[in-house]
Amino acid sequence: MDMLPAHMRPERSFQGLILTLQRYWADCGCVILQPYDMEVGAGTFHPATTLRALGPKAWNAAYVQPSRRPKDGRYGENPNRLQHYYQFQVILKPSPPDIQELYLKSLAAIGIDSSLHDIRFVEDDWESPTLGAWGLGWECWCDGMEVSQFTYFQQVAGVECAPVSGELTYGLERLAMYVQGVDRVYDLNFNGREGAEKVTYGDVFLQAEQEYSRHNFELADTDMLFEQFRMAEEACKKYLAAGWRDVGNRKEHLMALPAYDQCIKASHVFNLLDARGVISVTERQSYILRVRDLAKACGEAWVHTEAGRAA
Amino acid sequence: MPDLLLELFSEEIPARMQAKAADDLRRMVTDRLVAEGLVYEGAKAFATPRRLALTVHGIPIRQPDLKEERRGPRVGGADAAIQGFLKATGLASIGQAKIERDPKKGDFYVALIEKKGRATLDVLADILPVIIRTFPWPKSMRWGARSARSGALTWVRPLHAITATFGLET
Repeated sequence: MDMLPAHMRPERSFQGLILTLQRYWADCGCVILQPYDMEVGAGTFHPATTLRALGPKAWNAAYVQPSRRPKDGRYGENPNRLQHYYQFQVILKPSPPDIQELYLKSLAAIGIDSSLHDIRFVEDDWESPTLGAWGLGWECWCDGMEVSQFTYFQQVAGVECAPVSGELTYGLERLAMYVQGVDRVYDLNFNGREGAEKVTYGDVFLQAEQEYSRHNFELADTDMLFEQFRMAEEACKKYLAAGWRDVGNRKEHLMALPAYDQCIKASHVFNLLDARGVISVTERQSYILRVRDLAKACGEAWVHTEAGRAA
Repeated sequence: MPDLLLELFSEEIPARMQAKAADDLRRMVTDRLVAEGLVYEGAKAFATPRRLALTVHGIPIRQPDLKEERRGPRVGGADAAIQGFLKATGLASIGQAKIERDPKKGDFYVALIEKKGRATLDVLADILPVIIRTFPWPKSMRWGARSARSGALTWVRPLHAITATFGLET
């Protein structure tokens, strides 16, 4: 590892931590992607995970994903909880035999040495009802605190994964708080500088947390959101229907990605409606199933595309 | 008499499943051994976060030879019955069968079937893969490149190595 200048060191700098993880996974052979340019609740929703997990082709990617969870807004007053935070997402397909080792080395790269810290793999099986997905794996604990989710996908968008992918999701703010030794997320050193040049996480995001919390809980336009959900659902179905082609004796799909965009749009709009409190308990299940049906249809389309189908 | 050592090395087994898994391993292996006529001295199973292990001590190196008497049709009975009897017992000809006399029912054929005991090593080679493939994990998963094709091994978490020894040399 090169000697990093102080402001780039992962234990002093939030951006340094992100850059270190990107460098580490690039060195492991991943393509380093950029975040998906739509509102999503988790890195898993990026097509680089949900769609690329399907079909037989190998795929290794890593990226930061800003994740929006409207219900988790706390007006900037909670030291740990945010309605917007950064996940670091890694997907390795097929799951390599040494994936645990790679993960532990990534922690070492950001300054968490397993000979000094208690790192455990604690049973946690992941399920996403909206994506029609599930997997087995663990929460990774560092000194008793969860810092990552580690999942072997078994099924995504209703399709059996063949081969299975390994997914690693790091909670970057939480990891950074641990590595920097701060107990309030807004006190994180963002740019690794000191004195007048220092920029904290609060300098970057506190106002946003306050404004979005107001929006998510009090002021988001629910009429508009209900309409947006309907529009996204309709558009997704329309694009899926329009995309099928018969080529020789097989079916191909030509619009899986634009259709999938509408599916994740619907999913985020649902999360906003839910945070506004306008979705009843009975309706919630129905909305989830509607999004899941879209996701499954997008998965089916994807495995009939060039990137998703067997050779 | 040699000992069997079996160790299954995987990624972290959920803590709540470890004790029962060790027990299931012991029970499945010892039940099969007994069903195969192999009486052992003792068995012990162990679980750690990544390993399930089993020792079974004092297993004979061969199954016992089995001698079985199987009663067949009457002497002079229908040819089909005799052919069926030859087929079921593996005798080459009816001349190889004994004849027993029953004063009331008449004479009938009896086959003496000897089944030679197999080497325990061969029996283990047959039963252990089946036990591993049918192991009753509450939740089970596929992993790795092999999962691209159907019929891949499943386990509670990725299984990295299986070590089995019987005695000192094998």
